[in-house]
Amino acid sequence: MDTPDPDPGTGLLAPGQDPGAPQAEPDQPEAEPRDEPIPAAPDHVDREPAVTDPDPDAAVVADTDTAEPDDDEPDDDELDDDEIEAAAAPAVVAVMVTSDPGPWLEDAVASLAEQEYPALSVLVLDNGSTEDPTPRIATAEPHAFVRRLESNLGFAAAANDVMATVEGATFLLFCHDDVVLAPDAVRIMVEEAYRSNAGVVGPKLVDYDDESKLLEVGMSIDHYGVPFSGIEPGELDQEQHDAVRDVFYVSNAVMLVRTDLFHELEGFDAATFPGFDDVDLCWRARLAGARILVAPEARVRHRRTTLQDHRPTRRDETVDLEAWTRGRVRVLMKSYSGLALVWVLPVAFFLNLIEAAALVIGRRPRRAAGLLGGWFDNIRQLGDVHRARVSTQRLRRVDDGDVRDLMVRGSARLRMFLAHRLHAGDRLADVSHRTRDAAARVRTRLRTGHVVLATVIVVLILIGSRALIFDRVPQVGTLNDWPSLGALWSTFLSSWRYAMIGADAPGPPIFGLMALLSTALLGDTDLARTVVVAGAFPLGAWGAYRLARPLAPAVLPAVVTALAYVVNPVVRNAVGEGHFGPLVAFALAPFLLSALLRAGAAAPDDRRARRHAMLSVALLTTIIAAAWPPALLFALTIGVAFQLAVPVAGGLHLSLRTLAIAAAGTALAFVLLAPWSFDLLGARAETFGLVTREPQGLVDMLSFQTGRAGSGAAPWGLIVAGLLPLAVATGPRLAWASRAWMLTIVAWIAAWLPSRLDSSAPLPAPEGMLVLAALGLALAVGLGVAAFTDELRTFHFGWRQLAAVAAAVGLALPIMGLTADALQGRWGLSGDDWASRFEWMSEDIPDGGFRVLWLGDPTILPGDPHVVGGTGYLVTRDGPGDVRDGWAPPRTKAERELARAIEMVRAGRTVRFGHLLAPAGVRYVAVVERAAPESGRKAAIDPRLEAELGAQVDLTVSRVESSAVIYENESWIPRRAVAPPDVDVPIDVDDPLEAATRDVPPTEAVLGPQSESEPAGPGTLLWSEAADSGWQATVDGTTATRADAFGWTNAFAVEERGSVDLTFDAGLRRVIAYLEMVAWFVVAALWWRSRSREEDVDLDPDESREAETYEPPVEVAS
Amino acid sequence: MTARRLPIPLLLLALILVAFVAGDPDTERMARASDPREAVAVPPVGTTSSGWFCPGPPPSLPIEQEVLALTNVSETDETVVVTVYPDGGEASVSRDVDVAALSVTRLARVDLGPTGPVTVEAFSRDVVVESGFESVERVALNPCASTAAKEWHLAAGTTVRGTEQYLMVFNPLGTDAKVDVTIRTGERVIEPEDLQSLDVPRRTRVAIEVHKYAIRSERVAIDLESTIGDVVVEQSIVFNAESGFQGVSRSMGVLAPAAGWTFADGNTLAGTSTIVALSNPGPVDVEVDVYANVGIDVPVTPVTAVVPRGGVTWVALGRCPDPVPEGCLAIPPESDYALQVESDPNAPIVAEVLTLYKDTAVGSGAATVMGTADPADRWIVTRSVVPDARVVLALANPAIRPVTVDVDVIADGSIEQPDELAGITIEPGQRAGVEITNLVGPDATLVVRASAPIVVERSVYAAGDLSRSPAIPARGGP
Repeated sequence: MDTPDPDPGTGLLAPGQDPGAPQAEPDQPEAEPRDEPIPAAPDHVDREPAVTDPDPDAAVVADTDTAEPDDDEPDDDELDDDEIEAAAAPAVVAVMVTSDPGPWLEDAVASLAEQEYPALSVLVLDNGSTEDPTPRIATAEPHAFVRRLESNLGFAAAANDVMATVEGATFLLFCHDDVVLAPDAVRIMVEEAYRSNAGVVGPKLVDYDDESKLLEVGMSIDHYGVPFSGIEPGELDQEQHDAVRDVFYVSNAVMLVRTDLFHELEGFDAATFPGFDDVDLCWRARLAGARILVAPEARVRHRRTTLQDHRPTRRDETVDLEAWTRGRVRVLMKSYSGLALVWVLPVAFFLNLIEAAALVIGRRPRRAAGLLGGWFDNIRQLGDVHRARVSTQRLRRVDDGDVRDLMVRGSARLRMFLAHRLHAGDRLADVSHRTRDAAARVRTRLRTGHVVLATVIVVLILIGSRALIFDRVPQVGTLNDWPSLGALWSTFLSSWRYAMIGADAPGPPIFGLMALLSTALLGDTDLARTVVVAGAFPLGAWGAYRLARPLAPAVLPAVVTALAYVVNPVVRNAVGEGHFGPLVAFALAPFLLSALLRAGAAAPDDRRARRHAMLSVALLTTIIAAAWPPALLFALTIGVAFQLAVPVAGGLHLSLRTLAIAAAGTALAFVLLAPWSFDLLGARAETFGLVTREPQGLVDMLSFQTGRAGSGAAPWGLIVAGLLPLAVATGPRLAWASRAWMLTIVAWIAAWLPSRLDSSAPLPAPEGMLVLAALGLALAVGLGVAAFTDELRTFHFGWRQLAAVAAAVGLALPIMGLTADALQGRWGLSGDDWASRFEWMSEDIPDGGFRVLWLGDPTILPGDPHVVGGTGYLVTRDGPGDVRDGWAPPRTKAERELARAIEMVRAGRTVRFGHLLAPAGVRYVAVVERAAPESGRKAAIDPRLEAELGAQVDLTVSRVESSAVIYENESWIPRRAVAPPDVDVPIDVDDPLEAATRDVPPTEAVLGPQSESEPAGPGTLLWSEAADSGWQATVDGTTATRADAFGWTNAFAVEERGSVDLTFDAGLRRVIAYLEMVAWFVVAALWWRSRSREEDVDLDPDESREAETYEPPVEVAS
Repeated sequence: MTARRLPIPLLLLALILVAFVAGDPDTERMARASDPREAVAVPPVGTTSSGWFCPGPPPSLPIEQEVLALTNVSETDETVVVTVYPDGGEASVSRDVDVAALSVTRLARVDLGPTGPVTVEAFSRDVVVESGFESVERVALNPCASTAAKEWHLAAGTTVRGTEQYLMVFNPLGTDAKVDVTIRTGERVIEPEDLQSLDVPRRTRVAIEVHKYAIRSERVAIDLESTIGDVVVEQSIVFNAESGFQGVSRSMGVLAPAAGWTFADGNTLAGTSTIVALSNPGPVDVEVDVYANVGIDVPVTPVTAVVPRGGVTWVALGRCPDPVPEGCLAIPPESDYALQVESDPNAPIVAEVLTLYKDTAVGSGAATVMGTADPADRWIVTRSVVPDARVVLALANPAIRPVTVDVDVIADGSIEQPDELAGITIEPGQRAGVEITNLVGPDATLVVRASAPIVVERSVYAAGDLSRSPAIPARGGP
């Protein structure tokens, strides 16, 4: 690093004066002892050098020359050792900025006066104080200079005054008025500045009132300018940070700066005050090649009373967040290189957006506005920022890479948060003592049953999910890959549906939710997907725990409820079968039921509590139904089940309230899912995710055996365990057990009855409805444990105790099943997937793009297929597809033609299937007979269809796998292509398939992006999206006439060769999508606002009721 | 209200009882039908494009006598695409051919292009295609296959002295096929190494000289299975003078064995030698009953033959010595008959008839005809135009109720119904034979409409050869 030399005009400490004093660095010029004493030398202050005038009426302090010398001051020719030392020491001017100082001012000035450093002058800049502080300063240090400014300019602007008023000083020591320096602080810092050839040196800051607590030992920032100290709140000073080291910056609470460097930097940037003037100065110093050091041996007590001493937090209202952000962004814009700004600014802005959203949710909208306002302030002052940037970059002698070495990685805000939340307590007290206490507590808790069980749950979930967490989640069923964050947002906001061959329909809200989650995870969509899939287990378990916690005074029943819920095979089968929707339902259904319980628990006149419960139901139903549309009926199913339980369990009013809340919540959820939800009305069953499935018997439903998991007697053990409360519970607990059982029975019947009535009827994924059965059963099991612990002890030994043993054995069986399934590491999910196997399709995407038509049993296709004649089909683009191909839109006319083509080939009515598919751009036909290449559910395709596909004259077998065949369409047309003008393209024909059968025109793919292609035409532009008059094409700005190509896709007459822009106009749909999202946030905010009232519902009966007379408050409320 | 303890357990108990008693769904309706395709059939109603695949005669036979008969039974003109795939690997030759409404268009194969298989693509179900020899000394006219498939079976083959048996394997599709050929004689099963994983490149054909693998074997059945791709298989047997007979027989294979086969036409004229070949490709021995229906008043004792697994058994039809040996169905001499072959439904077989005529009253020659496993109520058959040949339409009713049959004659753009071909009643299990030589013109097509499913065959008796083939089933038609 090329560091400017210190001022050659100032001297070094005289050799021999201080054994510990540093020697000059080899590259330093040899210091000459000064001819005259440094302290208060007239050349330090060029404007009316003054001594402190204790007269409060004095406007400006008197010049040093005019000061009355002390009587005992020696003559020049009688210099004592101190004076010799002072003469050899480099001159330091301490610049203390004050403004309406508190009572600590005297201490601060006195600490400067007491410095053992011999060549120190004190200049106090009074920043427009209402009351002249000069007398107070004079009391503490009669030799101090005081300069009063007319108004409060802020620290930075005031400090810059020294550039005009101080001369001859080698160092400037800037400090606040609320610090107390140890007597050796200045000396240590000056010595370190010489020893390390540093431009800026800072001390260790400790708490003003308790010196054992650390505040700062040098500072850093993250890449987005947020300061980070690395010191945990309340951290004790045990000399653990006492090494001298380079830091990114030091606080200007006390900051020693080489005077020449300060002048070169043109002082502080006043526009970065408050909070970032020190960051800015040090950053610029670094760019100029100077070192920034912290010398921890120099101790300074700091009171932190000034404005800029505060760091902003979301709850710290004392900080002007807008000014703070403005300063931070200004520093970023000034100091980073242009290339770095390209990524730093967007990411920093994005992080602030998230923070602003959190502030809004936390009911601090003004602070959110302030946070974002800081950005716009800089935009408004872009010219000034630019000038400052030019000036800063002119200083640059080092690269950003060197500067970034001292920055912290990741988010400093997050680190601070973690430091506050995770470590503060340990630092506040004797660490070893607390550790011993904690260890003792852990040992004690580990010996308790519920902790053992909870540990078992966690360990089993971790073991069972390890491949999903650490490897990847295969793309099986509807667990498809999530595309990039932008693609998710685009799919949600797009006016044109992506799935199948497109449709004029609103985007499913699930993509908005996926995008929000991915955004919260900094755009990592893979991580978001993994979180959803692997997180369903723990979230569902936690939800079940929370559900049962208010219903029993002890923890154990709630833990057992969670255990009984998570050991149910239903979730393992949902994962194993690749059923995304039921998995989401499993995770959130306990919270939904919990909300409905609270709704019933709320007092009849407690409207806010009921409103909160209703909003909870609405939000949860929105999320679950977005993932799995049949879940729109979840809340109502629960309400109906409670109603049906009234003859058994009583609680008519409770159940009515629950039903009413369920209905209201469902209705609101329907609105929150609009306009997508309105598309569901009258749609075909496939649009709801219902397809023809192999019907399952009621025995399968009762044992939750919808997949590989749950075979044998294990699931029956859950039923046995669930019967315990019906045997031993009494009173309200028995009533709740009855309701839980009624919910289970209703869910079982709902899952089974449709297939019994019509075996060919489309059915939802069975795990979906069985989630409610599993939940009710788990609750019953938990209530059984509660009854066992609270009530059974009142009975003599008898059949009830035997029933409890049977229940325990029953619960042990599914635990063993879970344990066995956990060994595989992915809950029965395949290790591979078709997407990986067919990745070659998308490795070399031909010009114009293509589609893949997937055919097979609808239960094994990757995505949400539509069904024709019992055969499932779906269409993906440019390869095996991703999650965007799920949630199939309602059928369009074009898709009906596609279905008809499939039906035709199945019926043997065509040998030119490839011709029929050509208008849709289908290049490959993938016929699969298994959910994944090597494992997963097997389901043979209709043999007739399989045979006929093999007999098509225009299909070629492209790839044969053990459970799949890929045909390539010899007649395919690129999705975006142009047919020459002399070729007839069937337009607006009556029978689309008839038109395509006879001839497929020769075409040429259109290159370039959809919005601005490379020159194409003239001829007929074929656009393989479903025919819709909303599609528009402009060729070099001229609108081309649209028609239905082949009767089911789009054709545009391109008169002249030119760049083509294809757009879809769906009116206000995008605006509606934005409104939909706003509605989510509004409801979420309302829910958040009403949450505090939730605590008003006494859900902890442990404090108020004896076990014998215990009544869950929900029952009491009824 | 105090919660009641018993209702829920009782409800649960009831549910469990229901689960075990009536909880299983009706899965019968979910059972999927097996592949019902046939090698030759008129495409179903609503067809927009159909393909007819004609493997053609073996290369050793000249194509000069080969014809392609395109029949349009609809009242609108049709255009078809005829494509020849030359054996030499040259580029395919395609041409559009107009087929007038209600007419037959005969194309000389030699005019279409070099030697090689032919594909005819039509754009409706109303065009059917036949190909073969139509000359006095060589008659072998068969419908082309209307589909390609992975599995083919033939039962009646022979490689005795003076005969050459060929298997023409045509791959009309875009995917290279790989096939395994199994040749079964009465004694052994032959799986020639060079006929395993045999490549049949896309849109080419391969001629297999079966007589070089099954040398001098009296009974030769063939099974072909494709591991990749679909093919069309046709068998040709050439009888040289050395064999004591003459003529050529050609027959398209069938796609799957079946438990019942019906043959509509057969006779026991002096000089004939007819057998039904029973091939059992399955893993268990099968007992097969062979019935002949000569007339209501002429009972014929059926024969039960045991066909060993993987074996092929011949049952002689008529002209049995006295006493009647095993394996000979004693059909009275000079009788016309229909044949019924039935096996255990769980052990399907393949049945094919081989007929050799030598100096009979109707001439000499050879013919093979595959049985029909699936009767239909509508059939299409093209009149042969061999000079001086007798053409007989044979109708068999395998059902247990009488059937009334009407035959429309389509020719020269019109539909007629001669009195002799109207209202033909066939008793259960019986047959009817109508010589149509003089009833219809040479370029005529017959559409047979029956009140219930029947089996229809057409026999052509020329002086130097004979041909017998099933008509083309046209299910679902008006």
